[in-house]
Amino acid sequence: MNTTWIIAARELRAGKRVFAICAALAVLPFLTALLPGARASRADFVAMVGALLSITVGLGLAVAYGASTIARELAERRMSFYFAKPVGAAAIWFGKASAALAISLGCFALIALPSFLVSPRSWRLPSLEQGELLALVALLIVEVFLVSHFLSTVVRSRSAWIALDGVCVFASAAGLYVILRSLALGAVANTDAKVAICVGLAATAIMAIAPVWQLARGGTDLRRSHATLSRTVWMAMAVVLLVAGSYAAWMASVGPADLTAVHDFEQAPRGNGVLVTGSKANRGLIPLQFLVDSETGAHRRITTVWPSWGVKFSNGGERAVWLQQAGWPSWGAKFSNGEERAMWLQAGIRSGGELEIHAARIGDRSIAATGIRAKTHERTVLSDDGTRLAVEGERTVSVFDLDSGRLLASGAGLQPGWHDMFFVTPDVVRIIENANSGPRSPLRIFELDVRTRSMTKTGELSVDERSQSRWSLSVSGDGSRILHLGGNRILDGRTAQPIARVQFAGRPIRAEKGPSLGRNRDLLHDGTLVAVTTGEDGSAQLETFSRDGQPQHTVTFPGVRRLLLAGEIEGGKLILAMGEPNTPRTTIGRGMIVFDLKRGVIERVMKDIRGPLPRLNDPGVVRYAAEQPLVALNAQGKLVTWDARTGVVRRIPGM
Amino acid sequence: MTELALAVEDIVIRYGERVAVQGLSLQVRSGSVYALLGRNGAGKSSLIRAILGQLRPNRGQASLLGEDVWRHRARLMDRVGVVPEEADAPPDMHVKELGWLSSRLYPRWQQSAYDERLDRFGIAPASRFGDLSKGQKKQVSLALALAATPELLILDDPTLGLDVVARKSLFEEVIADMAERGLTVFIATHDLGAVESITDRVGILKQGRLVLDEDLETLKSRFRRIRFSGPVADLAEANLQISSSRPWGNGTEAVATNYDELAFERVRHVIRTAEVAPLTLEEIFMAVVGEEKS
Repeated sequence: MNTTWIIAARELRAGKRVFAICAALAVLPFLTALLPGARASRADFVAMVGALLSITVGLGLAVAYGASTIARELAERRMSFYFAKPVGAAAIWFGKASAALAISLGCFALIALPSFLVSPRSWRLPSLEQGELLALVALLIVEVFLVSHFLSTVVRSRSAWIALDGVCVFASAAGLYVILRSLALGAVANTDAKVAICVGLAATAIMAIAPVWQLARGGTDLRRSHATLSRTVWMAMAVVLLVAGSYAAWMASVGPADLTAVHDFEQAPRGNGVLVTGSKANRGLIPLQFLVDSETGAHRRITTVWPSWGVKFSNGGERAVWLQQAGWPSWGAKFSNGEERAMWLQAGIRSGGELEIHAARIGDRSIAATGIRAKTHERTVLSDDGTRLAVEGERTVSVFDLDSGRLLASGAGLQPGWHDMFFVTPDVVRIIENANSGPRSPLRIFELDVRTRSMTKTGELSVDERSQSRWSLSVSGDGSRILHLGGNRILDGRTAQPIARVQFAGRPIRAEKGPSLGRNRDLLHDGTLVAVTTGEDGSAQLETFSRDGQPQHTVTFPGVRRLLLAGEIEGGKLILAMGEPNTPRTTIGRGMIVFDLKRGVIERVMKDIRGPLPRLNDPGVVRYAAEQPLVALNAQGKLVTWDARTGVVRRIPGM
Repeated sequence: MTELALAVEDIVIRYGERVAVQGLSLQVRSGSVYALLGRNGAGKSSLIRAILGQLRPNRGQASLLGEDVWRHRARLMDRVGVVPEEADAPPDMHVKELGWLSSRLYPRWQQSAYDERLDRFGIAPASRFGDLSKGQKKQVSLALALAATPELLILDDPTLGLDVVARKSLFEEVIADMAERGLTVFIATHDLGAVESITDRVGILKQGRLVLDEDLETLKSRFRRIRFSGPVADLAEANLQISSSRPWGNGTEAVATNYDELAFERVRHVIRTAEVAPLTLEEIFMAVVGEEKS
């Protein structure tokens, strides 16, 4: 017989009485079920009492055996009994530990199994199946035993190593927190949970094996034993955390040049700031995001809550803000078929979790958490000068100073529904409300004045269209005009009074959904309306109207089945993207067009590039500076810039 | 059989700032009995724990039967019997169960020898170890150690707290085994009277240092008590080392640690009448360590 089993057998013999007591306790759930109050659901009652009793006894025994096995014998100077025998340190530890665990687990099973068999369905928790709950308790018993042994050794030795243990516990917890948070914030789907489980299992293995060294190196002296145990545990934990940290660093060490696919990008109206969203194989499922300086290639990794919300750039392009989850992000979801996929929405967003505004200056490496909070469904808008932020609340709008996070003004009185907001000036926020109050929803316009801290309604229009598009608006960049897409009506931007109803020459293009989504009617900065329609031969055509709704140009693009309004350039230029219906936004298609609005002619065609991409969440078209290098994807999937005036394409350094 | 059953080389044991054993070396020949003597706190138990591989010395090493005990403790304990100072068997175990456990751990276990000794000691096999008296616990420990038929028996103060009868029976068992099998015995003890008759060599430990390590016969031959009429200075011509002296009647009583009869004859012209007597082991021990204040 192996010496380990000899020692285990001896310890099990000593535990005979404990088994006998637990066998008697196993009857208790059935006896309590006979009480008058338990008559209605006896099976459930047996299961509940059985579960409570078995878990209490199992964990209690694990604590008691953990505290007494080895540590107590060392403290009472009785470990020399085994040391004076031809028995190795491993046999002493594993023999005693296996017997202690067999007694703890056996007694748990002895009490739990009869009640489990009577009512297996009651033996579950909302998130755990029957078998999983039993396995979890069994694992917990093992963990509690090992931790109890460690703590018992530490406490009984009363040596100065206790202080070092405290420091190491804190350092390990802090290290693990940093690793997991970097993984969670690094948008690596569920990897934080997987790494946490791996570290937990490694820690369990360390705690299970370290006592062998404790005995082999520490001998029968309790203080030396404690010192050896602590040294072994913390050195091994340091290695585990180093490996986990290296893995986390490797997962996070991705630059924009490493991206194997670019899903989205958007750039500031001026300057060099670009948000790039993409992915890389074997680096998690959630897209990676970078704030890139297109001139120098310098970049910072950021984590916005939802890539399509992206960042908001100030008009000058010197500042970017975005929403980031305030708590612990959760990126993955397990579907009913067991497949694990990334989710664009976080669990926190679905449950109404809180987000925090983060801000960065382009060209500056620091990222600041502003302390300004927003709910997941609330919209935010940045002033053109980048100093103020308006946040939609529950029936309110608040304006904050971005640098100090101070609340400057707040207005109440909004109805539930969709609210578009924009800064008319840094002191005035205009809110266009599409209230969700029935078939005849009013369209109301408010202005929140920061100086007077008052919100006033400036206009209202009853809207009776029932189509989904009644919610869609386009707002001219100067705020003077609103295009109500449901009725093709141009409204005054402040009073909502109708100015004109627009009649298009071609057929309207059916709205597309998902990643191919792109707008086909929009107001430009000065109120000019541009629309993409389908001509008689199925080719796309561009129609332009004055700010008062008068038709100006209709240009057909033979053979082009799809056009997207990608942006506007100061000086009356429009950027259009050619493509096929229902293809991703980043599909290059047939390239980009620079259209001269004044003359109504195509000024330039750029083949084999795609960009800039139309914004999805802004109620208007982005107007880029005339000299602004435009960011695009080339045929190799790399990000480049191109000049709308000259057509010169340049690579972004380091990409 | 290895020439040396036990060897200790330059062992240092520290507990924090306190030094328990300082650079100690000793050797025990196979088949001999070595008695390690020392006052409480002299470092005996620390030394024995290091010898048994239960405590790693800060410096030096201990070898049992030719092998490093720290590295090969489990294997060596097959051939070594141990009677600890404090009985360390689990108190809930029955005496019979202790035999059962040992019978599975020791390859040369003699169950009959164990049973017979228990019978001689008058200990019931069904007794719980924790319920036994101190003397009985020592007897059970000795029975367990000897039934494993060890080549080396290490006893750490085996008679501490035992009455005269229990001491006698314990030593009788050891002596019988020695005679029968040529057992090597290393014994740390206060019971000088009991070991004097069986020990071959004596070591005296004082404040962690081995101040004396010598065959008992040699030791006894050089220690003498000299009583004479006159001052202790009269002994100077004989070149005797005097460990202690005190007034004795009108004369002096001195203990010489290097007594030599021929040398002593040189001072006969000064010291006409002298009474020279050998010392017991206890007296020698007292002469060596007795002046130290406890």
